[in-house]
Amino acid sequence: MRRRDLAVAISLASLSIALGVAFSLGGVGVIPAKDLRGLATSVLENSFNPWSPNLTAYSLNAVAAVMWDYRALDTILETAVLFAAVAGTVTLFRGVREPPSSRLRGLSVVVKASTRVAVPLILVAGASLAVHGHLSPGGGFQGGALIAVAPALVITTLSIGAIYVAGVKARSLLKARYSALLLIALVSLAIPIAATVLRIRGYILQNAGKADAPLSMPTWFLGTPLAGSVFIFNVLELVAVSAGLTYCILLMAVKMEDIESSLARDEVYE
Amino acid sequence: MSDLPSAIVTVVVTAVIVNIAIAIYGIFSRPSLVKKIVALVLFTDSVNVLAVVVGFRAPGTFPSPPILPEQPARPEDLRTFLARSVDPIPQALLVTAIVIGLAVSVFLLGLAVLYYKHFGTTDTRIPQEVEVGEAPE
Amino acid sequence: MGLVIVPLIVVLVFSFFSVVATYLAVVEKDLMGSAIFMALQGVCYALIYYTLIAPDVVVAYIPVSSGLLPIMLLAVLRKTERYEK
Repeated sequence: MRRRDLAVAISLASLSIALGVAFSLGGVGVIPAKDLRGLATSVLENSFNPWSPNLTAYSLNAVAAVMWDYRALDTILETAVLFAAVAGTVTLFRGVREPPSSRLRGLSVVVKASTRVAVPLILVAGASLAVHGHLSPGGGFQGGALIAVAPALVITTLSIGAIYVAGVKARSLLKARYSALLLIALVSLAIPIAATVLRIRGYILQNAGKADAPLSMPTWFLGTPLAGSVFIFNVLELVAVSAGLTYCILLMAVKMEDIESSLARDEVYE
Repeated sequence: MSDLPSAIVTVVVTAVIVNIAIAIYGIFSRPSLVKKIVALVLFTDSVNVLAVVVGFRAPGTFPSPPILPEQPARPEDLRTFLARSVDPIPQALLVTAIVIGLAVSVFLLGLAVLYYKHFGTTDTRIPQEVEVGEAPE
Repeated sequence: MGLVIVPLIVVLVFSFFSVVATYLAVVEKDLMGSAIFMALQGVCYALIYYTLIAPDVVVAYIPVSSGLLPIMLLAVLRKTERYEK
């Protein structure tokens, strides 16, 4: 990093901050809104409202209610985009065999010891974030991304052989991911199928019971609100996202010689 | 000062617009493929900040996050929550945007490795001498 | 009056550092330093998200920008070239 680059960066940053302060002091700055919009008022009013049981989602976290109950179709399409990216990466590196567990090298002893302390904490924190998604900030994707940081840390400080010694295989990660995604599809279709069997009405992705569709997911758990399908989707998304991202990290960390020897066997550009 | 939320939002928006300009300059001017991917990630992150600024709100008192701290005992407790809370819908759409940005970046990094395997370099200024259908060198 | 000014100071300082980190990440020729500057910019943006009262976004953004993407970038650097010409 040369001196000239640092000087240009600092002067650019000072210019932009000075411009921002000058805009706001001169009265031409951005003015945030004073009132909520109509859609936001309706969402916040009905996110946890036992006095209007037709519209509520029994979830104290309004953002989780929007993600998994009021706009659940957007989140399912986002899961499909992540699935397409993971499937594309698997296809790019197809045929790569898992390397044999080589001799464990890695960084120094201090880094290894602190990694061994940090990894269980990361796993527990990620699982807790996902399970509490309807009561506090958090949710399925947040917990899954946090759990996927632990194998990345282990690969960087220990070596990739440590992952295979711990018993994590690439095939079982993919199987866990696909079964979690299948269960998400099943849970979204569970109420219409049960309602058809009982000859009443049921909607796809329904969470709480409505006036004309009395079936509902479990909404209370021993006195704590458990927002039905929001909780179930959070747990399934935790499994799917952590398995998929760990598989991508394992693919990226495989040695280049293994990639070259695997790809030389089949003709891609025929 | 009385217009403190306006000052916060103006400084953030100005800095983020400068970041967007630097990231777009980085995509066009640097020849290495990995540097272009880094600049694309910076661009996506900066645009996401603007979405949170849309949902920000300045009521008379301090704004509060869109999460109820405890179960409301009466319907009037929901009124005080509604009077101070911030818009939750842009934040939900923003989590979706972060996931999609991560998915695109992971796929592009995989493609960069295969580009290096085929051409032998990550420089995008090489003359295109390899025709379609020929085996690489 | 004293505690009310703290969000403004936090936003001023960390917007400044985010512009510095973005410029250095784009201009740097050593791509490993570029990954470190990307993680630094992620930390600055996480603090800005916290000041703008978006707790779900903070918890989703921190592992992605400071944990997963720099480590994947370092893994790709080991396979391709480390210095750009």
